[in-house]
This record gives sequence, structure tokens and C-alpha cells, in this order.
Amino acid sequence: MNSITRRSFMRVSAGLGSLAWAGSFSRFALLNAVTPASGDYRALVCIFLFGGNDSNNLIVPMDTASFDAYTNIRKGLALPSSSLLQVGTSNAVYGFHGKLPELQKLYQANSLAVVTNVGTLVQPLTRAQYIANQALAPSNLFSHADQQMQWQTTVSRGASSTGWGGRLADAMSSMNPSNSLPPFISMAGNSLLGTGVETQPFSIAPGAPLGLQGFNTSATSEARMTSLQELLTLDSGVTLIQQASQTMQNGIADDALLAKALAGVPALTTQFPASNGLAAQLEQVAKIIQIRQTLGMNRQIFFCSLGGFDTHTAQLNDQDNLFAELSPAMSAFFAATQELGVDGKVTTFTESDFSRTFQPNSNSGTDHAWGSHQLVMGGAVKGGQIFGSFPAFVLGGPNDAGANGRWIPQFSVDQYGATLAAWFGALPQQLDSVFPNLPAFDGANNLGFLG
Amino acid sequence: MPYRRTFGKALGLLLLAGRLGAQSAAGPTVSPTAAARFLDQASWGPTQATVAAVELAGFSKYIDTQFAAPLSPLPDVPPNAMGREPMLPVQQQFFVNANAAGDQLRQRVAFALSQIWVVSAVKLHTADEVLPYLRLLQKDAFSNYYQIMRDVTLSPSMGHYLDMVNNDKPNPAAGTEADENYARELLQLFTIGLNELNDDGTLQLSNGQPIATYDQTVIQGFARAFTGWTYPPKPAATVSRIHNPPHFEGQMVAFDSNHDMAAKTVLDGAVSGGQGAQLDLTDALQNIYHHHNVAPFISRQLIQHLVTGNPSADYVKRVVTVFRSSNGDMKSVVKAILLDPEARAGDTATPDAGEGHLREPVLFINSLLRALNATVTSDNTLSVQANNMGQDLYFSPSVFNYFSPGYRFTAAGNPVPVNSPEFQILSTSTALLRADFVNRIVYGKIPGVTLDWTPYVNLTAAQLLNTLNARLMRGTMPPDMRNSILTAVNAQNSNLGKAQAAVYLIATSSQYQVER
Repeated sequence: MNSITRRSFMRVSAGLGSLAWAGSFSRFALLNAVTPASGDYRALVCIFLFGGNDSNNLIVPMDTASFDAYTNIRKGLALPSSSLLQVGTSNAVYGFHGKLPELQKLYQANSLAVVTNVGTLVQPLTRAQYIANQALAPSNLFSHADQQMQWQTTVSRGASSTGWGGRLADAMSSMNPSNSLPPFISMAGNSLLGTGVETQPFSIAPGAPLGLQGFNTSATSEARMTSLQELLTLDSGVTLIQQASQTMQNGIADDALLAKALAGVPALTTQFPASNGLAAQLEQVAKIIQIRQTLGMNRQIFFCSLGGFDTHTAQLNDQDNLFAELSPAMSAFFAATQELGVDGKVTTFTESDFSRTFQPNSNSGTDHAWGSHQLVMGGAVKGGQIFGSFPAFVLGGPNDAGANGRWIPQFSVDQYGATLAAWFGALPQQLDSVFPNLPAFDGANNLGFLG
Repeated sequence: MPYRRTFGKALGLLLLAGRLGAQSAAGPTVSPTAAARFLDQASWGPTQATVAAVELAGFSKYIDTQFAAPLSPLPDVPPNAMGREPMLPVQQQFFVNANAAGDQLRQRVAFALSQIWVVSAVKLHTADEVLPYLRLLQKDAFSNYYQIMRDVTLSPSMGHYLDMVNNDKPNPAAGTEADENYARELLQLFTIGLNELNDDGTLQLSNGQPIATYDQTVIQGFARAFTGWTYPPKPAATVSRIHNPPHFEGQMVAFDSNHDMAAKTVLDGAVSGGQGAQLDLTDALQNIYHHHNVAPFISRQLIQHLVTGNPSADYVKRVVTVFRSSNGDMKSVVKAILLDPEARAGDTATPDAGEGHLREPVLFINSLLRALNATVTSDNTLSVQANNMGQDLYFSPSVFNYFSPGYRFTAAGNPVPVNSPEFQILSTSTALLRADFVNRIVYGKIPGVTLDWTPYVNLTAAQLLNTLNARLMRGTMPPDMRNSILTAVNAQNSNLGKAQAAVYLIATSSQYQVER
């Protein structure tokens, strides 16, 4: 495949020659030719918890030994058992954080599962191996920017210019029409997760109007639009100018396509919580899923985010507020997928920079750590289960990278992503190209949390 | 008739481009295009007045004048009905100062420093918590890098933002460790970075791999070295305790009773211990400042903010040499950055294809308004526009700034990623919102911003294009761009419509938005 994507090739060919500015939106015409989706639809929705969510307080094992160790070590940051929302059976009781009642219900309804202690890895790793040779571990552990990148790229040593979502979208590109929206759409700005070799993320700001403002059908306006379009196609020979122009061209074309498909679509009856930034993002995702057949999309990946998890101080209060935003937003989104009849075809999952030290710091907070528990939600999820085991709650114990409770992950981001990607439809040989480091995990390519 | 003067210059530069370059080498005079290009780097964008000043003084002398310019005002904010001092007036003052205050270079350098040493009103909340910090960076912009390290470290605003304030010594009974937040980001973002660097800013490698500058032990060592500090006592306070109530004027104060006296491992295996908070802090900062990474790590970022996102290794090395020989003197470093042959090469020749940077939203706003001679008053709502474009002024989403100095994009058809920090916040969404900002400026109204169109409405289309080419693009508008805009301009019904269309099309073009 040459380096010019089909999308950008279309744009170039639709560019300078046409006098009417609508010429650059020629995908309007092609839209009608798309065969309606046959029902083979799948979507992945990433919710990235920026800052490093302290998942030690997301869900807590409540067997006596674990809970005693939890309370003894976490002390002021330990959640009282009375505040926890219990799930599980009498043999294995777990408590969700008290601000996650909607997630507790989803878990009990088998629509939500927890995958424990997932993180960036180069290979399976023991404490002894890590202490003996840190070169066996990812580079720049405990650094926000680097760990955010590694969660999105799965490349844990060295740089990567692509993310696993973008590579997955590249691998699955034959599932989508070439003249529709990009397969990866971000509600939260540029995302390395959605950057592939061919796939470039399309960003929407929920609440912002689609398309350029200030144009109409008058001759003066159309003349101005024609020139704007021409300027975007000029070959300046300057990398930065070309990149800025390409980004704007993509935005104009993709916004136009989306706006046309959204026109006249009935509102969802599902109510999303108000004054909730994540809910606004997820509501926008639901609206785009609603028009999947108009767009002809069969495979889509969405990116949303919630920030503020870097709780070095005042963690109890801050995490209360963040979870009170997360839980109803996820729940409303699940209800929206039910309303649309696609709850079994949409899987929502979390990522985060890292978890936080099990041991508290002196500021009523926690510091940067490593492996963290993740949430997966959807009708296809084997819900009501915990996948994986909790680390031993011992400072300096077998799962601790040091002495403060920075858990060495039991599962890698590669395995977590590959499980999602396999459900999405990636074939085994495609998984190896999407997750180049997957072979390091001895064939354990599927963590089993999706049917 | 100031526009005529510019118009004449625009014609002149087309005719005399080659000769002017030779002239500037021979004497103190600088061509208007070179002056304007220099001012894109050394100010919030050229105006007719500043272009004339640089032409007259020459680059070096102009910089000296800027070093001595009086500091622009950063007044206190009156409390609102709830007794809080809101951030909006601070944002409004930023745009007023950027538009018209005389200390342009200081403002640019202070703003660059604020993007390295990030504090954010996402956590600090109010003007009284942020303003002392902005004044500190304004005052220290032309001081010395060690001075900046020390002043920021002791700033209650930074102390509050990254939790050095009230960072208690480890308490075995309570099972707590020292808070690592400030220690980690001080090393990772403000001084030395994650990996060992050569003096030209490139990575040192061992067996092909980068070499980490520190490990977790060192982070914990510095975290403990920085224990024992709290807010300064309020002026009326009768006592000062180990946890003073929040107060943001002055420097944090230390209590040795709350400081960890145990030995700590810091950089290069050095160990400090057995001394109080003041001495530990000085030793810790000296330990960091003497790491060889500080000069390349900081020099490269300052170049990126002022001149180009992707400087050559030689350019970085030349600035690093000055950083070292001047012992971190900011005036010397800034001068070296702006007078470097690589920064100035584009004055007389086409800049290299990879050179320059995307105007970040506040620079985009300021340079466009200055070029159009707009008036900005203290009731402006320009911060709303900057926020739409991905830069919520003084509300950085995290200590990692709006964008990262290491951000790279991969362009279609070119497998080599391009280091260009500002592109991190250019998405398909913000690209269009940038154009929407221009739409508001040109066709709508932004409160507190006044644009005078009279200089542009009595011109022929060709004159209009020449004038705007000179004012906004230093005469660099390519012929095909000019032809396209001219066609659109000629299709407009009124002279005002022609001027508006021309400004809209230039300002939304990538040729304008990328500063080279």
C-alpha cells in the first residue's frame, strides 16, 4: 500500500479542480452508495482516566485477610467496609468504592467485569527479576506522559508513532467503507491510541458546532470557501504547513459527513447526567453509534477521557468526586446502547497512566505506581466477574516493585488490548501486527473477559 | 498614513530582498521583513511600531532595550461577591499586556517559563493564588536559571500545586512516606528530564538505549529532602506552625521538626543527610543544577517556545555553550537563542522545510491582533477563544502543559516523525475552531477587542493584498495563495467585504498559522 491513504487521495482528487466548494465534500454523493450495515457491528469505547487512578480504592477484596492488610497499610486512605458496595458471593466478596453504585448494579447484572492488575510490561515479570534487572521492565515507569503513551501504543521500550487502536483500525479497514468517517473518533483531543499508519483520529469537541462557522450559500461566501479550500490543497513543500492543512481538510470533510448523517436523527430517550464532562463525551459517542448504518460503519473505536486522578493530596475527597462523575456516565452510556439495541456490540473499557502506591504518602494522598485494575462494560462482557487476582497486600511483598506497594502487573496492556481486539474481529495473525509485543506473553493472548 | 508606509515597504521588499540582506550584514540597520520575522520570535508579533524600532536599533541593541523595559502590570484582582478573586481578570490582563505593553520579550520568556514550570488554576483556583507566581516568573525571566529554580521551589503557589507545601517527613507510625510529587516533576519536567543528554540535546545511548537520569530511589531521596515546608504565615498571623493556613505571598517557610534528617540518595549517588530543611533544600537544588542535563534540557525547550520546534543539534549546542559560560544567565541565553544564525537564517533566505512552529492559540490570537493594530481592553473575553482552540490560559490540564516539548507527528508519506510540540493540540476539531476564532474577529465581535478597518477599505484589491501580505506574512505569501485570495476578494460586494475576506483567508491559512 502506498503512503497516501485512500481518504487523503480522495481529498486531493476532489480539490482544486472543482469550483463549487461542495466539491471537496464529494463523499456526500458516495454516502448513498454505501450498503447498509448488515448488523455485523462492533465498537470499542476507551475511557482514559488521566493522572493515574488509584485503583486500590476502586474495588477492594473483602475477605478478612485481605481487608485487614488493606486497612493496616492504607490507614487513613482505607475505605471503611461500611462504605463499600459489596458484590460477589460469600466465598469471594469484593467492595466497589461507595461512589460507584451504578457500576455495582452493572456488575450484578453481569454487564461489567473487573480485570485486575493490568499494566505496561515488556515480558512477564517477577519481583526478583525486576530488582535484578530493570531493563526487563518498561522504560520511564512512574512517569505520567510515558506511561500514558505506553498504555496507548503498547510499546513499552522506545518510541512508537502509532497506537494500538489505530493499528487495529488499519488492520480492520476492509470492514468499513473507504469513503465514510475515520474509524477512530476522539471526544478528547488528539490521541496516540487512535493514530495508525493509515488511520488518523477524527476529533469532536462535544457541544461545539460541526463545520466552519460563518459561511452560507451566497456567492460571496462561496467564493471565500472556494479559496479556503484551494489554500488547503497548495503544496508548500513545508512539513508543518502541510500537516496543518491536512488536519483542517480532514476536519472540514469529516464534520460535514457527520453533520449530514446526524441531521434529523431523533434524540435518544436515555438521559445522561448533566454537568458531567465524561457523560457529554459518551452521549456524543452514543449519537454517532446511532447513525452507524447511515454512515455505513461496521467497526468503530471511540476515545473519551476523564482527568484529575493524580491524587497526591486529599485523595479521598478528590476520588469521590471523580468516581461520582465516572459511574453515572458509564451507566447512562450502557443504557443508551441498550436503547439502540447494540449493548452486545459495544464494549467500553478503561485505561489509566498507572495505579498509585498502596502505602499512603504524608499528604493524605498516594504517589505514582504501576499495575492497575480496569473496568470493562458491555453486553458481550462476561460480567459479574473478576478476571485475575489481586496482588498480595504486602509492602515489599511478592507483587511489589519496591517497598511502597507499586504492583508489578500480572497482565500486560498487550494482553488486555488483544482480548478487546479479538472480540472486535481481529484475526490471530492480525493480533501480532497490532500488538507486536504479544508473543512475549507465551500465547496467553486472551484474558477471557469477552464472549 | 501609516498603512502607506507599510505598503511602500511591501513593494520595496519584493524589489530589494537580496540587497537588504547584504545591508543588514554591513551595518546596524535591519530590513523590515527581517525585523518582523525577528519580532515573531521576540514578541507577541510584529507591529508597525516595533518593526520600526528593530529596524533602527538592530537585533542586539533592541534586545538590550527589551531587557530594560518596565514590567507590564499584573494588578491584584478585586474579590467578587463570594469573597474570591476570580481568574478571568488575570487572563484578561494577559491579553491586554500582550497586545500593547512594552516588555514584549519579557512576556514571551515568562510565558515560556510558565509552560516549563507549570502551575495551573485547575488546582490553584483563584487569582491571589496564581498572581504571585506570575509576578515571580515575570521578575525572574531575565535572571539566572538557578535563581528561577530556587524561587519557584520556595513559591507557595508551586508548593500548593505540586504538594511540597505541608509535605511531612515520613512517619513510620502512620505508615506514610514523603510526597514525591514535586521531587519527581522538578527532575522530569523542570530541570534534567528522564534521559541523559549530550550537550546538543540529543540522547546519550548505551547499547543503543537511552540512559535514565535517575531511579525511584533518587525520587524518594529528593521527596524527603523537600519535607518540612509550609505556607508563609499570613501578615497578621501571631504564630507560624508546621502547617500554616494557605497563603501565597512570599516564600514558604521551613520547620526542621517536620523535616526528614535521615540520609537521602540524590543524583550521581550523592548522599545528604543530618541537616535541616534549609540546607537540604540548597544542597538538593545545587545537586540538580550541576547535573549536565540542565543546560541542554532547558535550552532546547526555550528555543522551541521562541523560535522553532525542531532545532538542529548544532543550534542547541551553541546555546548550551552560552548557558554554561554564563552560568545560566537568562539574558545571555535568550540573546543567544534569538541571535543564533539558525534563528536568523530565515530572515534573508527561505527557512528550511522543517523549521518553525505552529502558533499556539494565545500566540495566534496575539500576533493576529497586533498585526491588525487591534485594541484590546481589560473586559476582553479572548481567554474563551484560546480555550476553544485547546489552550485554557493558566488552566493547563496538568503539570505536563498544554503540549509536550517531545510531541511528534508522523506526516502522510513521511515515516520520520516531526518534533513539533504545538501540534499536540491541533486536532480536526481545534483546527476548525481556530478558523472560527478568525471568523469572530473578522465578521463578528469579541468583547473587549476593537478592529479598525479604515486602513483597508480604500485600497484596490491588489493594494489590499500587498498591505496584508506585508503586515501578516512579511511579504512571504506564495503567488498561488495570492491568486486564490485575490479571486475571492474580487468576488466580494464591498470594500469592507473585500478586506474581511482577505484577512479571513490569510489568517485561517496554514501559511499564516505556521510561523517560520
